[in-house]
Amino acid sequence: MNNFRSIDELILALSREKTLLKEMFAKRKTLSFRSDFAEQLVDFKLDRIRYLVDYGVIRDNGNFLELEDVYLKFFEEVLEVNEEINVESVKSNIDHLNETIEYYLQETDEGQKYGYLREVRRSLKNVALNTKRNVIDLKRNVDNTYKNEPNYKIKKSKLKHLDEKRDGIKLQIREAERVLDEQTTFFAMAMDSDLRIVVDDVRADLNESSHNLIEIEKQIIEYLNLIDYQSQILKKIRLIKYFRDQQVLETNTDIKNRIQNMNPVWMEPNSGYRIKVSLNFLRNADEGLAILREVRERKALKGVGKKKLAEPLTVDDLSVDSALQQMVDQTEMKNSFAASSSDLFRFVMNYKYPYDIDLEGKLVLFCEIASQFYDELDFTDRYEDAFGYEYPLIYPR
Amino acid sequence: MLKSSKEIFEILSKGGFISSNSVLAANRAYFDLIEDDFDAYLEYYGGVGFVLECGDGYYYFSRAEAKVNVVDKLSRFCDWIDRLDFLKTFNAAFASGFVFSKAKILERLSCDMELKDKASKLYSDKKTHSDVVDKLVDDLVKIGFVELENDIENSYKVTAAFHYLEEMVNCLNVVEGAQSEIPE
Repeated sequence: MNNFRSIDELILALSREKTLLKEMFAKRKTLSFRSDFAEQLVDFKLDRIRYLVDYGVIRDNGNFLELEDVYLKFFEEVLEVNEEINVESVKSNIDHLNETIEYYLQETDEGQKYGYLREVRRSLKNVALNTKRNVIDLKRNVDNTYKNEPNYKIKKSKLKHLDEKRDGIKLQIREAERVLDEQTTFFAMAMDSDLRIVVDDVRADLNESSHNLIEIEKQIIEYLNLIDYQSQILKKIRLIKYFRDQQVLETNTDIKNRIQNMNPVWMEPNSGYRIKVSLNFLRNADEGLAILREVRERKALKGVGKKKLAEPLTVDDLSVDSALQQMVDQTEMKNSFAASSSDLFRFVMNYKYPYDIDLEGKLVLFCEIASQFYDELDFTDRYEDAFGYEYPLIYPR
Repeated sequence: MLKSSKEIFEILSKGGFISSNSVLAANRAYFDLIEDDFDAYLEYYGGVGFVLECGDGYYYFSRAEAKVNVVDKLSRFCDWIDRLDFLKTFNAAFASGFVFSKAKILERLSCDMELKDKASKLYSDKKTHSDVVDKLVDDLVKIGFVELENDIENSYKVTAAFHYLEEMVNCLNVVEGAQSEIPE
């Protein structure tokens, strides 16, 4: 296997095959990435794949290709998409930090000392960065596991393992804080403004991380409880169903008592609320009329069968009966009144009627004519008395 | 006048449930309305003989006095035990927020003997598996335990009201000693 001799060479190689690498990285979760598919991505130039295999970027497994672990890890870590929580990296950082501090304290040469100091700053930053990233990864993993893992048993043990990881991270944070607290000689000797900023940042980051960890712990406990609750429910359902199948539900549980005391509506048979139509609505609204018509039409369609017959008419029903009612033609009276010279009251009293009319009838006629032909009569202001009534003098116009 | 009291009544008085995580925006709005003013709604519906009951993310109606005798209630509840058992056998994760489709159930039915056996006992008048699943989903939708989430994929989402059923089963106390009868 060959090695890249310089950064230039490495970056050039990676950028030349970026389509292939991108695709392979995107499909790292699926198990198989077929060689023939890879060939399409390098324009069927097999040399290019061979070159990557020779330089240990990808691995050739017969028909399938895989990204080498080194590169896979590198991509995942740089892009912050790694799912693995690496507690060891923090631990090795802390070890390295301790070692460098030791060298610094023993070194006498100023130039070397400065080099160690720089190394200490770098390690401190690494500790903070890795811890933070671990916490973020942990949080994401916990959520993912709870939401996406379909198998209850695996889900539960995964969450438990994540909880152990959380303990590990917590331990590392405490360890790092202890280094900051206990290496007083070093920090007293070497403290300059740069280191002060770094130390403060690291302390703040560690503090934030440990706060987040408490939150994550709560979350994990909640998830585990939910899982337990679900599996407990599942067991209970199985048990109850078993009792039901064995017809011993009522004897083995308190179901009767429970049910006696609750009356949810869904246990009632579907009851339609029958409400009568408002008569007012049918009579007065256009919609009501439309409904009536529709109902009539439906009824008419149904009633094609036998029709009800009325009783036959009797001889009496067929005989002609006539009734006579006598009336006075008021218009004719008015016309003849117009030709006369007397006043209306006198005219009405003396008119020659075709039948007998009593005084009251005549008074009614007087009033009727006076009101009906008001426009054609001349009403005077004078009044006279007759038969105990006072009447106005009305003349034709 | 309480907001949407008519719409809420229409759902609840038919024995339905209103859930906090309903697919329908209207139902979610009803839930929020009741949540904000629970006492007012409780009193309002109390006036027409219904007791507004509150659960973990859902509301439903019950009555102060029984309208149905215990035997009928028991048989209705037992029907739901069968359905619940069937659904949990189909998928142990069948609970609030779970998404499924009729096709998924049928798929499992075709390769799971236990499920097949349970399906045949669910509805005596339904013979084919697809009829059983149709009827089952229909019943679930009617009561408000699941809702159609996507009509293109025909996927349904389980609402928070499903907790009710789980709680109902969970609150039953088993007589001492009876637990050991169940075979593993």
